[in-house]
Amino acid sequence: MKTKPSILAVFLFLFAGWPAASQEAASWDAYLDYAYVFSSAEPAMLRARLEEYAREVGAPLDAHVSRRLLPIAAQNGPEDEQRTRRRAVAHLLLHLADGSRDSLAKSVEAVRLLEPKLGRHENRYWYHYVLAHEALERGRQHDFTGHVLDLWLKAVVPLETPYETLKTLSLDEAPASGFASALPFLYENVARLVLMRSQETGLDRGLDPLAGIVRLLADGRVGAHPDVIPLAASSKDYLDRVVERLDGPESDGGSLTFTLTLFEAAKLHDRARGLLATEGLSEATVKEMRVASAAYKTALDRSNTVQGKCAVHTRVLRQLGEIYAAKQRLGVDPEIETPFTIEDAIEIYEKLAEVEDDEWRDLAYTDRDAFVAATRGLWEEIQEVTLNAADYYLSRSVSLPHLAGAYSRNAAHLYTRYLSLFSKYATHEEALGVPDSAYFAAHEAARGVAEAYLLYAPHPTPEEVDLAIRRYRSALKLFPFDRTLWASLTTALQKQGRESDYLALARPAAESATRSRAANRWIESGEPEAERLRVLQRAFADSLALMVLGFADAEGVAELEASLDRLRQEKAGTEARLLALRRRLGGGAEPVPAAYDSHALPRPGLPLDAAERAEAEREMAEASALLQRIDQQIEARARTLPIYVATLESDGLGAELRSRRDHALHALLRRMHHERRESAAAP
Amino acid sequence: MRDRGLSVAVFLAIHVLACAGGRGLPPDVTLEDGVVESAVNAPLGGVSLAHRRMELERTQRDLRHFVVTLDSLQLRRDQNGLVLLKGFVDEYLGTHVDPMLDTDMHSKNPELASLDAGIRFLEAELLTRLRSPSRAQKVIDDLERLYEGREDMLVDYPIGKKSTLKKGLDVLSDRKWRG
Repeated sequence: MKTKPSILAVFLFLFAGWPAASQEAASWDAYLDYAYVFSSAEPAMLRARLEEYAREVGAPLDAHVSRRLLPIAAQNGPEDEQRTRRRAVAHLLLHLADGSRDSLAKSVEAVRLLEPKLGRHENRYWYHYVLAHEALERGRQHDFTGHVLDLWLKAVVPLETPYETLKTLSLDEAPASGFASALPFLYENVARLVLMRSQETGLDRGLDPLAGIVRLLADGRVGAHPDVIPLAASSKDYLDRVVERLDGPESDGGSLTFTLTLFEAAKLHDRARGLLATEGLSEATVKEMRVASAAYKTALDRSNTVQGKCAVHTRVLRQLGEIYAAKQRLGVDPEIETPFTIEDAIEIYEKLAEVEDDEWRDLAYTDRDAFVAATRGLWEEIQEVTLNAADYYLSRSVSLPHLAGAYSRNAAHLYTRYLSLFSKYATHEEALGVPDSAYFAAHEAARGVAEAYLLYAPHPTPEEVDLAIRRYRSALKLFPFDRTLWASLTTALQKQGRESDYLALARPAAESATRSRAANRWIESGEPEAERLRVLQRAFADSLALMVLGFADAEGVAELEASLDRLRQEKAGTEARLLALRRRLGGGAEPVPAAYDSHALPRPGLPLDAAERAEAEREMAEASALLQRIDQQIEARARTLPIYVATLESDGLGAELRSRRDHALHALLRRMHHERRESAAAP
Repeated sequence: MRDRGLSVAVFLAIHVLACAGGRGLPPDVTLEDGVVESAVNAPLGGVSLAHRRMELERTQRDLRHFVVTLDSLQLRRDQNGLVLLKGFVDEYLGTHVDPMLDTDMHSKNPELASLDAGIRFLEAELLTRLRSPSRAQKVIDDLERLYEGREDMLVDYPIGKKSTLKKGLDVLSDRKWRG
């Protein structure tokens, strides 16, 4: 969060070198005549400055006013306008420094005496500046806006050309250059009055006509005179960000009120975030979160367009997601109320997603890219908060086993809601409002439904188990490149005693992945993660490897390798036995290899009778069949084991996609999904 | 150029007097709005031309900002805001833009003609939004008069685009009655 720049120090430095001030002895009159230089400082700094001037002059400002600037009695003739103006300015400074309403009232009283003298720009400026402050204090937005517009029109505009002329002649700092040389400060003061002071006094409506002035200020005015006000001391950065928001996707049709309100809410949100990082979900954090949430609600109330509502919901869902994530991470469940729900956000999303052709203009977007970015941004927040909230419920189901049934089903409902949204809008590859990351999120949601019922719900119904198996299959189709998911499907099937159905259920997803033109192009072109995908595809193409994927786990690799060794030993034994049987049957027995001699049966001495021969032939047939089976097993295991082991190296792809919503593979998942849908729809 | 030079000379003279007088004259004396007006019909060249161009460019940008803000208020049906800003824009046009354009000098200067025409288009556009079709028509008449024979000149109109002056006038005339 960017804090408001403190300009006072720089202004004071400038003021010290100001011609009039430098040429004359310190006096309140001189300071008051140049008060436009420092009047926008924050109260604490303004107080400090006034105290320093008081030391220099030898009297505090209020004493100076009492002694030298009190209104003149009517019988003493008209008061000099300069004196009246100084009194108005002095009271305004006292008000700005300590918030005294009495001072403001006196300032207003004095400045109104200048009404017959408004031909002078300096008088016009202070007249509208003081009255704008009064309007702020009274919460009169219409008056405030009117005075700022008048100030601009009657004090600023007439000075612009003279100022440029003076600057060209290098006379802008000359003692007699007059009020025109104040122009850079007037820009700065108007910017601060509209953007900051209005917000400090809680004015959160009726500022929209001032958007025009704000745009003017940002267009070559504030920050354009670094020789007078250094950039670091000006409000240019904040002003630029406000204007960027006014014109950007997070606007409400250009409403300044909304933009400033959303800015304030975002600042409060940042503060709550900072507290969350340092204190966890402490009482203070929760309080800040409530305040931020209320500020977002104000912004929502001020929004008039779908664009504005989308901007608020996008930000507020981020806060909701952070709350759920923190609750899960910290294992606490504090009371946090919010007027926002995921369903509200989905309603807004639907308004955006159902736009046709150029109708996005009706929602207040100024260009199509901004509309698409905002729509996708809202979707991403909906998906993130859904997944975070569901994760939270699953973790609660573990920590509170007696409520596991309810919590796991809450999670399943959230995942299902997201899947409904996905089915409704991810209907074609070019769906504008659906981000690439939506497809992996759908995989996560589908898997989440399955796991909520099978791993977290204590007693899932048969219908829930059946739904879980279907969701596992959906998850596999959306993202087949997670090795562990195949085994999860087997586990689910085991719950129904249907593990033998595994291959039939898994094969469509595997074939879809191996036949995918999009995936093959991706791999051939060497796109990101191509090698990891190639390894997995190789496993999907081999039904034995697919079986291993379903029934083995990473920890069982050593066992699989040991079983291969055992098979090889069994093969050797069987071969030796077969050799011995052949010898026993006599005749053409081959010489016994030395290695087999230890297992060799005694060499036949006598011919076998008919019964013995039949028995030996039966044994030989059995041994031959066994050897053939062992050979097949060895061949299969020797072939699939390396494939399976290779797939282990692809582990973590899912986690990478989960943590990086901009991962390149999201785009591939999108293409694969729609490719599969198209081929399924083809006659 | 002569008038402008005179203005500057008067300004400098007053400045010297101010300095010589010790406390000086009230600072605003030298900087009344009349300085701008007196320069309107002056021949343009050198620094003065650069100044005038800068002034016209700034005015053109400012008018665009007003159009955008009015559109925004209209989009959100903010009637109070519209009333306030329309009043402001009306006065701004009357006190600042009209005196600036009250010359045929700009239209005759190749460096300023396009800017001048652009501002006039924007003024007419704003007047249309202010529901002042007769004033908008006057601006259109001025455009037709000042730029007669130069209908193929490119101007920054409609907002955000460039088109020929003739096409711009057609668009403007069409919009004038629709408000």
